[in-house]
Amino acid sequence: MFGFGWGRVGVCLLAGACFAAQSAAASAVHGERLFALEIKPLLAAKCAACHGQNPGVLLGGLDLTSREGLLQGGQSGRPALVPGDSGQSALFLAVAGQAGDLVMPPKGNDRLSPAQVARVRAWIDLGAPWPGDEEVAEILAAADSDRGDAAGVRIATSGGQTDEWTQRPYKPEDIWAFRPLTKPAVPDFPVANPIDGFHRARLAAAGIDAAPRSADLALLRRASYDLTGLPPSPAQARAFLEDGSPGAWARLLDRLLASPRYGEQWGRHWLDVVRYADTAGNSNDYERSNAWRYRDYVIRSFNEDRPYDRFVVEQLAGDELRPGDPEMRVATGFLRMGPWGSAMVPKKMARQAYLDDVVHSVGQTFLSMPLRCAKCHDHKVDPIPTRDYYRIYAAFAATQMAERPAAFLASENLARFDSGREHVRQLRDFATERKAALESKIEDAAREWFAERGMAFVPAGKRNALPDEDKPPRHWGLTPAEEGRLKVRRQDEWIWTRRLERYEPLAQTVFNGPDYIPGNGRKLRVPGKLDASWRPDSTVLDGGSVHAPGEPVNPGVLSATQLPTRYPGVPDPFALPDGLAGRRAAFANWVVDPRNPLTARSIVNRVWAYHFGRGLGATPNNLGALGAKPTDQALLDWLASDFVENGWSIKRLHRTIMTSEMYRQSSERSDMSAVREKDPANRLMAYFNPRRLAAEELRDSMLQLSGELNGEIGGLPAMPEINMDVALQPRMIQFSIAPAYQPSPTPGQRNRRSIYAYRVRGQADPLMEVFNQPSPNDSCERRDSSSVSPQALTMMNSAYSTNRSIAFAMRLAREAPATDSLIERAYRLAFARLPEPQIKRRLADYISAMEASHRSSSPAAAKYPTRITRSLVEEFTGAPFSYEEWLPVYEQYTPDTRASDVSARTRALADFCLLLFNSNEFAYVY
Amino acid sequence: MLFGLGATAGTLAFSDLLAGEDRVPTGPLAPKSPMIPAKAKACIFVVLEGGPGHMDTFDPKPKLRELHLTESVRDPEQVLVEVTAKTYYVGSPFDFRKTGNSGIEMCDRFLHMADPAVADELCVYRGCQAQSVNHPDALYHLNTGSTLGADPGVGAWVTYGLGTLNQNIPGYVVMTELAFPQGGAGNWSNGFLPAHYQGTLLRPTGSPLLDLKPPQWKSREQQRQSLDMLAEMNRRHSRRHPSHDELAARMESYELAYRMQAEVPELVDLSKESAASKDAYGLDDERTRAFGRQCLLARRLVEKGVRFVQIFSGGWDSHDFLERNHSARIRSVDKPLAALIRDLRQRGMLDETLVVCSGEFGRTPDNNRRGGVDANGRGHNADAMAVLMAGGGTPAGTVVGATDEVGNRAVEVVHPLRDLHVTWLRLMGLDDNRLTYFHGGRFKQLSQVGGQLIPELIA
Repeated sequence: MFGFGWGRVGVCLLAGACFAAQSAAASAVHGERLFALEIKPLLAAKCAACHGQNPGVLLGGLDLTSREGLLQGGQSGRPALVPGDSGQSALFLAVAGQAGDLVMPPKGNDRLSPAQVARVRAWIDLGAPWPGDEEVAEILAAADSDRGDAAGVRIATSGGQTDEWTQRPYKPEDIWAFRPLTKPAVPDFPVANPIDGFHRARLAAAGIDAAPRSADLALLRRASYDLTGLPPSPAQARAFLEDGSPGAWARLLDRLLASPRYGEQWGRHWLDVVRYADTAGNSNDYERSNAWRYRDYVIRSFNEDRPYDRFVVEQLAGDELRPGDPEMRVATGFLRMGPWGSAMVPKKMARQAYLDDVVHSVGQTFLSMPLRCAKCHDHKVDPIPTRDYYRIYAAFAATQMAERPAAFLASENLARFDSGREHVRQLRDFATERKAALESKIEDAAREWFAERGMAFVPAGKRNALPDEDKPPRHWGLTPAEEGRLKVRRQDEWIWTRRLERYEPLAQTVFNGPDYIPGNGRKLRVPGKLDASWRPDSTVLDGGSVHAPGEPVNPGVLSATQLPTRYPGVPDPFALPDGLAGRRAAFANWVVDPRNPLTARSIVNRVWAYHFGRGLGATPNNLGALGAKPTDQALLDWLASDFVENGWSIKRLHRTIMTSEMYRQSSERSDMSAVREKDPANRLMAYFNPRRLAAEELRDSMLQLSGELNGEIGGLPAMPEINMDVALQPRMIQFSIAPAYQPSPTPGQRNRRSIYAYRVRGQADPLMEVFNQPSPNDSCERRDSSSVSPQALTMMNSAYSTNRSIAFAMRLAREAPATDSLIERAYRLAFARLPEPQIKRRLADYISAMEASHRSSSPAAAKYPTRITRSLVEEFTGAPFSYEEWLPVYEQYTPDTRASDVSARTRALADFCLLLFNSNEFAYVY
Repeated sequence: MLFGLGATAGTLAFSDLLAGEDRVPTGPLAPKSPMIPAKAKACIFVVLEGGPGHMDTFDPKPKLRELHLTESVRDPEQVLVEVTAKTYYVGSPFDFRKTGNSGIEMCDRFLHMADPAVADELCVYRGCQAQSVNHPDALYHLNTGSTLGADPGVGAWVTYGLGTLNQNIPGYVVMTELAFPQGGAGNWSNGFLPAHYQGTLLRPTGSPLLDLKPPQWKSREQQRQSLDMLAEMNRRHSRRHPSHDELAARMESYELAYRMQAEVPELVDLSKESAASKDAYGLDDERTRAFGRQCLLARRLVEKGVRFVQIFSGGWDSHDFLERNHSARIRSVDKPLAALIRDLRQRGMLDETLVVCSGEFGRTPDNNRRGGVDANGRGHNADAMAVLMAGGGTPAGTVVGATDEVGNRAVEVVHPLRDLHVTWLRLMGLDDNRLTYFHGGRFKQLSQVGGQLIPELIA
């Protein structure tokens, strides 16, 4: 080991007054110490980026990287520093906000703290000494052994671009997540669950009691939604609510955790973080056929309670660890989750874009440490040098994207392969025929063109090389609209040809080999011959520019963790193997080393955040200095240690959390206003935070209530009905517009759980989008749940919710025909309870009134177009043109039951059902 | 009482609602004071998707005509479309002339923009540099400040900073010409900002907002009955959960939706516009109708208090047939855009309405052979472009910055796109460094890393 470790910097608490009485010599020493320990790092962190550190950037002409620069000043012509007189020094006045409009640094969140401003003043008043680099190093070394008041701790890393950065002190609370993970003692309270010990201790310190336990009904819904994303069925509700025995809660959790619905719900959380989609985004938004296999791998892993350390390793390096196992190729699909395309981009930059995305995503996903901030410069606040960024970059520098053979697993759902393939072939043939007709029209015209000039006909494929004057102009013989159509048909043919890959045993995955960026839109296949001796040129890229290779680096890990890799024979403790293969496996093993301080904290905090609406470290994607500080680090560390000690089991973690009294608190308490006065943001979790259902939970719950939910697991993406305007909305892709969205032909196929719905980066399902489903272009750690009016429009008016309300109405009419019992049945299904008599009467009246008024309405039958005309502006001509698109799915389509198919009574019942879907009681979990 | 809540209304949670429009709006979209005194109160942002050739519109390069079809030399490190074949210079197919009193140069296909009453309102900025030459990345960059496609649109930042003036219609409205641009709705997303700030797409045909109307078999009267019944259920529910304001906020969103149902169709109904107005915006001509409708709607929306309107003109990506493409594209926007600027001026709105018009990047002075022939078109170029601005505190009748003699690179008043964003916010009274939102462990801002003002663009 290199003597990496935790150093302490001792610094006197500095206040101007304390220096006045000291001798000049002592003042000078203090000034120099102050400069070395505080002022120099401060100037580097807050000022230098715009004032001297970066070539070509010298705002206001002011250089703050040397004393001379300060004395000389900038464009104003006045010195920025008057040694000994802070009141005359523009530097102090600007940071103190005493220079009129001029406040520095300009960004509000970068401003200096009052303590920092006081230090700047003290340093200037001490004569603004500026010792040289050697003296600074001596002061820092001496400070290490001092034990004064802690102004900060130093963290050894692989080293920054500057000494200031390498030596800078950190506030202990900013780098808590890099500290070794130790298991704290549980505070001594008479509680059964250790979580409650920690909770009680913090509440007691604040003089607050825990909220009372929630009613069983609320707990039942809370647990059902948290673990499965679905409401309890009436039978499930009865089983729990009528089970008064002591083990009822534990049995409920066991049942929910054993349900296949559990993996679908928690898989969804993971897919939010990794940015799952079925398409690649970017210019063409091509389908990533078989991406669903990764989605199902994730769901399966949660359902099987695959130990988290294994889950991590498989996603980072499954292919290296078990090369013959097709599931491992699927698992490393994680490394293909980001949006990516190479259209028009120089290959070097397309490659860089991929690796930057992987490095950032790996850090953010598994370590809760986003790394993009260290791409161009050493991290502004976290102990992550740019060197580490490029060492991790090097760990993935031999990783190449490809679709690779991977035999289907016995557990994978291969239903509808034949019908799907047939559907795609039809569409491809439709495009091919039309393309061929246009191409032969060109050839006919060309034949004529050559004949008119008495020249021998040269077929299209051979005309390219001819000089312009010896051949007909491009698209000769086509009308402007036909020019556009030809492009559309060619693109469609390619899209549908690629789509056939869905039915091949392939996985979207990676391989180790030389840099491989095929032309835009080409299939990604492992090239036939791989040069096994190839190694990437790994260097720091200065300023993040692919054109500015800097210092060479070896593959490595995050040095600030102080956790060495297990790579023998190399003096550098944080190095990884540098062969063509094995880099990722070594990296993954380091990530899941039980001593890695970040990994277990990261996942435990994520799981906690999904249960409580907020993490213990409040930003699950970022446990660094900029993330929200942990509300209870001891509890987080206890949970993380316990998690690692007990085999990284996520299901066990759920049980630990959910059997606590803390989790089972009510969302209401009689002394709420007093509690909120003490803790306005509920940081202490003195009551349960209600949450609005996520988009998928809303849709799935509607389907469960209507009795339409198809519980089939996994397989090809399901195609629910989406808003028809959106389904047919033309959207540009390169050269053309994307084919229209076509739903699955039968209700059963459409009514799958939302996690199985086709995710297209360029075309969100508006039902999901309006309820805050995040864009898959960015990792989502926590769903937004703002209430906006378009949600109301969607839930009240859309064909989707209307159709669900009709199906729900038909179900109720079947199961409980009389109005009174029907309302009761509906309440049991929706809310697991009975309605109060008064509201039941009001609802019965409402249903009668609606039925009466619906007798005079005559709903129109729904129409499903099989041919549509679409238009776009053609780039060859600059003018719009239109073309016909075929929607074969609607030729043999089983529509949902529509209003035109049912009686006025059923429509009135549907209105009632729609109210349930729209009610706050349905949309919120308490 | 506005669209009252029925006879049963009256709990505390609803007392707010009942005051209807008269009360001072609260909530995330309530109007906020600008951070810095500013002229522009609203913005109309016109995106010319695909990247118009600056040297074929507002930045004449006679030198290119001299060099036409001679081989060009490229700097390998310049961010241009990657081509492996030989490249040759392409002279602009269009002639240029000075327009108005200010003498702003425009290609001769602009007939209406050349009217001195319009031309002298313009500020042409030639110093801007983008970053990506890939359409979706570059569109995301122009529209959201980041190439990654997950950040809030400029309009989202502006409504986040300023709120909106009319609480009954969306504060940030988007219209597209025919197809969605590459990158889709990510170009007007709320990104990591709360959903209140998402751009609302106003559709040219059919329902202007998705699901604005109930199914045809439900009457407005029935819907009122349903909303009243829903409110009653929700009030009962709220009594059991008195501590949670979000329940009331959600109930309010239903009432706003109901008001929108009445207001929005009126807003997009152009039938009452005068014949003169329809003619001015080119609504009577097939070639200008689609874009003209967007421009006319943009003016009406701003008049009604919409804070930010973003409209798209598609199909400017001229790799092959520049003359044909740009002639048609210019014709489709020339008259409507001129009408918009003239109309805003005549109504006294231009000084308070910032108009920004730009492609996602400019184009190269050269091209390669395509489809087996010398293609008179151009590639993508992130190092030079022409941005058009008008009103909202921009200096009228000026040209700011310059590109080199072939239009390959900006060489004067050169700024990265983020500086344009910073300046744009400044014109609207917002300080990019203070207009931040904490996300993913960082205070994010439109310019990503902070930028500089471009003082030349502020009158």
